[in-house]
Amino acid sequence: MEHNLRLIPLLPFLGAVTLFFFGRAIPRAWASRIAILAIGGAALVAMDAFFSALPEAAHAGGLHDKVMLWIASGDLKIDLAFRMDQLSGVMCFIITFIGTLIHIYSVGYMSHEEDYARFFSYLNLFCAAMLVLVLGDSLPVMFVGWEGVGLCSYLLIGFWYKDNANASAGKKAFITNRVGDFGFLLGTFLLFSATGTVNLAEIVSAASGSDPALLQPFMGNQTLAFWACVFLFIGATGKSAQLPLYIWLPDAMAGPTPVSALIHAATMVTAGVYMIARLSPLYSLAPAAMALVAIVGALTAVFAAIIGFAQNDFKKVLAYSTVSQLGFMFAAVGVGAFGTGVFHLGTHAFFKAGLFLCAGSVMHAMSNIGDIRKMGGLKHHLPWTHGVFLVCWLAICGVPVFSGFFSKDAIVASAFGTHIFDAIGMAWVGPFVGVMLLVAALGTAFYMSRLYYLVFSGECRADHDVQHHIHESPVEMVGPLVVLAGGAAIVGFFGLPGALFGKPELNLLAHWLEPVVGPEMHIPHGLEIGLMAGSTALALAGIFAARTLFRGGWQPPVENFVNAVPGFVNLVRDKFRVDELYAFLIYRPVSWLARGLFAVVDRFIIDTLLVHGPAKVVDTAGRVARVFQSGEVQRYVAAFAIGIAAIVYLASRPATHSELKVTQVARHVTIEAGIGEAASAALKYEVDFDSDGQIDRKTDKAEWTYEGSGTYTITVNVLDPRWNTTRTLKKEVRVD
Amino acid sequence: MPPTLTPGDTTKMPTTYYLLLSFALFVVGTAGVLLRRNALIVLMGIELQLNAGNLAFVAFSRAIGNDSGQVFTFFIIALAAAEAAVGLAILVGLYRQQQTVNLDEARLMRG
Repeated sequence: MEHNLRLIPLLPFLGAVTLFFFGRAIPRAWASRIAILAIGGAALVAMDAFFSALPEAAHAGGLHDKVMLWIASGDLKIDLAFRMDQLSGVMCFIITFIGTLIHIYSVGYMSHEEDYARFFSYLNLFCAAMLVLVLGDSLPVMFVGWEGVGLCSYLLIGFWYKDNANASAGKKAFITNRVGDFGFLLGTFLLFSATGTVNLAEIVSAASGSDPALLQPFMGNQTLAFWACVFLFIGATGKSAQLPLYIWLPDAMAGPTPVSALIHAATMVTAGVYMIARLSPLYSLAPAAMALVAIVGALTAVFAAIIGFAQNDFKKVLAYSTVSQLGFMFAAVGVGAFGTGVFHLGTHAFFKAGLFLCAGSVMHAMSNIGDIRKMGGLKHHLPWTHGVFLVCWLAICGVPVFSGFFSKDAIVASAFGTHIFDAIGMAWVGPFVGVMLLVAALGTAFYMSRLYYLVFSGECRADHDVQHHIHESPVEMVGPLVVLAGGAAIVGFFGLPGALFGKPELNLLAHWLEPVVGPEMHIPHGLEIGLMAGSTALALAGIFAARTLFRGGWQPPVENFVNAVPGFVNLVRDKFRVDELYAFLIYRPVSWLARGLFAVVDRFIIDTLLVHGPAKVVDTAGRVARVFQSGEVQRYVAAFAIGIAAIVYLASRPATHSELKVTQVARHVTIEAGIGEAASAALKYEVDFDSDGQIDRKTDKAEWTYEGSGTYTITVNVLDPRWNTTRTLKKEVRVD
Repeated sequence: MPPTLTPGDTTKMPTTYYLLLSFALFVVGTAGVLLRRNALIVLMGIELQLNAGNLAFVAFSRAIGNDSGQVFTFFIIALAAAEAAVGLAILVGLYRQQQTVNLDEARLMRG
């Protein structure tokens, strides 16, 4: 069914362009209004499509909007087209809804910022790119959005580019993403080579029909589908900050906090999860690739959670928490619970955006201090922020009835309940991932509670000046916070584990997404109930442990622990020194190589040989030539006269050398004179063959037959009438 | 070939004499051009060279019996007049700017 889907990305794009080019001319109040209108308009169009048009078209491939034929080259035909089905509809809803809230929040948060219009321009551009990503009808269109969000991420991380650290963080994010993007491209090419199309719907239908082209052996005993999935997953690890390419996300906190909430928590970083869910039939063809996705996700979840234990920067804790939660999502799609992965994506978008915006609100109140060692006791100063944080905190910890509980529990249950790895003899993957996720869930509850108690309980540890200025944020910041908190509390009810009560239709989201990602996984009820109880117990244990250790500040047992194993604590605080490892393995060799190439290729070959070299040659030649250019006209005349004399002489000089060539056959001889003679046409020849004084011939080439035998002398006179000279050449011949 | 005089023919002089005179004129003119420092004298040297050429042309023309050489002479006379006009104009210009007509001192175009 056709629908004007193009409006959804187009409105924020127009807003971005307007603000980018005319931002300085537009009054501040209007800059933010334009941006909010643009994204709000997109949200309205998206909701209209989602609620009124999509249900009708739900089972006919969703809504479609072809803008134009974009690329046509041989067999390759790519339309610039958008498609909204159940999955991209949900994503659109999340992006435009949370995007609008964060735009409104930014009005308050960025109120002291000079470059106001530029910020909103980038924010709008990001929304446009993200919407292209989720609505794109083919892999290349998706890739445009994929790169677009990467660009906006770079621009916004480095928004305060005057500080070098921020600019470097932006570059780090961009370059790390490029590594992943290369994988995405390889995956696209591979799929095109196998199926001859890059259209998502066509690839998905080929995969659903187990197209033999996708199952052909490709490399290392694996199918082509496996490698396509692996390459695309490499792209996802870059964009969604998974091991080993997660390193950019914690540094990305250098950007303004609304950016961290929108891009680096709620939307862009979930693009990888979305992409895998979108291609779920393809991934289902390659269980080994899914095992890889699940294991990477689970390990990332644990790894990032552990790093989160020892961070002292508010936003860094949340950043590692995001990496960890993204690991949960990848574990979910990896074990085949695609709908559950998207469910956690949605709940996480609400509670993590809420947490980040709370961080922004706290830092706004604390004169931009982000160090939780300087906080504490903010419960009383920031009641609204505290309330919102409380809800989001309980949600991320997985306390029952809050959204995170349902989504996280569904993931863990899917990991234990999956059977997709049985066929390839890797049945251990499911339980392994499940155990890892339980550990990560315990860790999450612990470090998030540590954050909560250090920031909000006890006495404030900030300077007197800072304490004096603490104030609750303005209404345009608190309003979105409250909405997000409401979302964090209730969105879990869209994914109720209805199967437990014999009513699968209670799981609205799974039911809704079923046409795209397949039916919900069946999990034994005993297992699910046991895991619910278990994970609730783990969440409460984590919260209780953190409460004991960090309530009202650092309690003595923490000090004792740090003093007992300082090496380990420092290692965790230094993020396991992964950045240093990468610097050693990649940055430094590349840097040396670059310096070497600079010295040899740039400085020596290009600068010295190719640029300065010709200049030097011309310069030297000029210095030599100017010696002759004396400016004295009589010297020129003298040179001219000498030259003329030389030419006249050379043109008319007498023959300088001449030889006589004689060829004899019995009594018949042939001679040739004047070989190599200059101006031989002017010469005259007199030939005497038999030494009788008579001139026999008058040409330089002549023949003669001797009548009798004997020895004869051939004499040739070469006359030069111009100079009146004669030379004589002689040669003897014997005739038998 | 030695010059020969037909007895009683006082109107004919051997071509060689004309050529020798022409050569002598040309050498004098060239020496003037190369050796004198006064630009006016140099111009006069050039005139001598041109007229040496004229003399040779006419002599050959007469000797060979072909009138082309005489036509060339008229062209050269016209050309010499033009050359003298331009040359003298340059000299005036040079003097106005440099207050000299000494060629050793007029070396503005030195590289």
